[in-house]
Amino acid sequence: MQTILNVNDLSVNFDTSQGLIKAVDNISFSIKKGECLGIAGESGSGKTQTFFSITGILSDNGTATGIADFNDVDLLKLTEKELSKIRGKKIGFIFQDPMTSLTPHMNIGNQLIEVSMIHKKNTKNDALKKAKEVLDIVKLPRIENLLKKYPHELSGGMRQRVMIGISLMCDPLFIIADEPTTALDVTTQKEILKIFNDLKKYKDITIALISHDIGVISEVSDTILIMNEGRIIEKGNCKEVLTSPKHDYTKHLLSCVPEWMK
Amino acid sequence: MNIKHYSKDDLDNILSVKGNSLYSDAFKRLLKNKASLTSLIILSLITLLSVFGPYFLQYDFYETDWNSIYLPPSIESGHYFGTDGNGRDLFVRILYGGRLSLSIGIIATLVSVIIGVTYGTIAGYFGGKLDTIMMRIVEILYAMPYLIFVIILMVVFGRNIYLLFLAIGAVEWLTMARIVRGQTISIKEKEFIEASKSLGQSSFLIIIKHIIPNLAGTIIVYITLMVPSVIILESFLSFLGLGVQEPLTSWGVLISEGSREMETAWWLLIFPGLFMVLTLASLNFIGDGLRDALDPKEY
Amino acid sequence: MSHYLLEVKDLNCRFEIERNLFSKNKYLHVLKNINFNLKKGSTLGIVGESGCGKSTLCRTILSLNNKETGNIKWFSKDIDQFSNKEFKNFRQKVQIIFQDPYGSLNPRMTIGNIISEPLEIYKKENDKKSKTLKVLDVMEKVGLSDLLFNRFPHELSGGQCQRVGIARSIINEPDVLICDEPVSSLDLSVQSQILDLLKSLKNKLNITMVFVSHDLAVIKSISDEVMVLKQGEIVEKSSAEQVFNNPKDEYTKKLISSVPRINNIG
Repeated sequence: MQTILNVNDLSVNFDTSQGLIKAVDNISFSIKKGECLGIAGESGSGKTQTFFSITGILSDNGTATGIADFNDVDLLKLTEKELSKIRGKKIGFIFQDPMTSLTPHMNIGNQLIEVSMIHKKNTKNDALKKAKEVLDIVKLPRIENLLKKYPHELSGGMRQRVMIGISLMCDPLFIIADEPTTALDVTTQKEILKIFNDLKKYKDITIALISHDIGVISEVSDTILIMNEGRIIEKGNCKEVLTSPKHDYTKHLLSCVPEWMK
Repeated sequence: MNIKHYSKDDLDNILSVKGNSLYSDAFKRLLKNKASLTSLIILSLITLLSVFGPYFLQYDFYETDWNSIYLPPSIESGHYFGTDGNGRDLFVRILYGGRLSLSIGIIATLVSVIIGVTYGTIAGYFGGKLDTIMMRIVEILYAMPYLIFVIILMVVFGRNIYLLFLAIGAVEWLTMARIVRGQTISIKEKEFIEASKSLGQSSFLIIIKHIIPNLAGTIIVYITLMVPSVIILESFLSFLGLGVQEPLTSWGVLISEGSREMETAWWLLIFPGLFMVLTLASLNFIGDGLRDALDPKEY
Repeated sequence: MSHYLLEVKDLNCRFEIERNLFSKNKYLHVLKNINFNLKKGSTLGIVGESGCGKSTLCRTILSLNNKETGNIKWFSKDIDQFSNKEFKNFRQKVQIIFQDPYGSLNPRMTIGNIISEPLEIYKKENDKKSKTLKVLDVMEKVGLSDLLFNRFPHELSGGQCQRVGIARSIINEPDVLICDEPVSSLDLSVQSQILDLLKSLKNKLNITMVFVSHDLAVIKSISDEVMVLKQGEIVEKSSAEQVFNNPKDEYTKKLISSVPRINNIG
């Protein structure tokens, strides 16, 4: 299997009023096509900043150094304009809180086709067709009025499916999901994780799943990265790392997971 | 419960570690804002000049000199800003005027803050019918033409400086009450208010200990925006001839007189106007800076 | 005198969502026919997904919310019939810990002042020194460093703020502690620390607890009795062992099976 993302010596620093803060400290990892990499760690471990920095959505006071080879292109060397062509098209995003990541004043239909029309320059009709296709993939019911509904009229689980749908509109190669189920109920979470597994199996999409919940990661991921304070503590095959952890921090994280869930 | 014993030194050590309150953080941020810092300096200078300046100048504000009427500004004559139609030194009159304008600005604003905060927190915190009635009263008062009200007061009771304070304060508290009520309503929904209720705290003390300290940021910003508007209001009244009486003066009076003599004695308008503009602009910049400084970590 | 500290009968709670002049007002029924009792010394876990009404239930039994109909009896007395003095006493004896560690603390007050507020309300320890000593004592009990006494909430981590909330609620030695999702906003390793703290306080200070969470694992680790809520109604109520090992209700079974297990791959 070919490697789709190769990160080498990535460091991310933030210039704050309290001095320079190292959010990510010299990390290296790679993801193969069609694989799901789970990134586990507590808040402040740098897991989100790793992927924000590669795709150019760092805040102004952040700088990233290193190499991020995506499909033979070093993302860190691209300009903002070139990056914006890749975001949404080749790389899709799913964020934690669908209520705030979806635009409250636009209906679902418009938000879905907006992405497609910007990147693929589709006509409205083609985009609508694709939107309906995508809604099927995420298993949202085929209601005529669904496309006209606004985010606040949908439940949390439905909104998250819409978010996943939006990320699929341009047939991305790679999806970055940042705590996609944290704001959801456990029963809804189960359904969303199934969608991720389906995407991997049937659409051959590569996924980076960031979560502080090891249970969530273990349901979907093939490989896993354990991060703490900006560094990778342990990485490898998900099942192996979780059943026989080598590093003390990994053992400590696993010890906090209740026995019952193992 | 057996309570651990601390020596006096231990206690002193513990209590000496002071945290950074949100206000001290905000103040530091304010000082970093160049416009605010400059404005603070200018405002302080003007205030200091107004308060202490007259003691160092050779002329008194009511001292007339019929030999020196309408003198243009000059350094040799000692009249740095010139004189008016009565031979009075303009510089010292501007400083005296500053005392009055600034004190009206501050006192009237303070009065309106005290009334407005009390009224607004009660209406906002208790809500329901009380809130509805209180706010209807505010709206009715808002609808009244305040200018006519002030004119009537002045005509009936004469041009009294304390009446001026009262009249201005009576108008400005309405805005403060509305703002405070709105903020109170949003603060009272916060969890730490609920926590305080669950502890059994009385409503009165919740308002004093929890709501007002969290309002302070907004109130401070509005004060810096209200003071200019009070000064302008006073100037307007003085312009109409309803302000302070001779020989007392304010910037409004000076500008009013100066505008009449503008063509022959430009300095009578320009210098008071300059002081007024500098003060108002400084207050506005400080207000802006405070709003930015108090924003980041708030709520 | 029953050995139940709390007896709830036929509790209904609704919120007005639409006020109409010419037609009926619209209501949202948040709690429907809730019946349960709280035994002295036990821990009752209340579990359910978002919108099931568990937070509303917490606030209603504390009289922070208005109920529509039903009976709430604390210490065998009907809450509606409390005199002012009895009500104040009730507030002292039944305390609550909130979910948001930062939101439940007044950002403008120092930690020392936040924790000492209950002492001032009930006029215990009138001089400054004994107040300070009592606060420092309870800070030690919850694992907070002395040096945080004069600091402000925004200078503390989420876990530390939650400890402040706990300190504040135990300083007057309450009989009952109601925990509304106290660890949901915290990191995994901090969660287990706070849970351990709560368990040890429960034993040391002999506190009866009501623990609300959407997290089944947390509920399982701390509760003696468990109540499962779905859309405002109790669907299952039994001992923790019964509910988790032998759930009777379909919804309970669905909840338990939805929790991701570590060894499930793909």
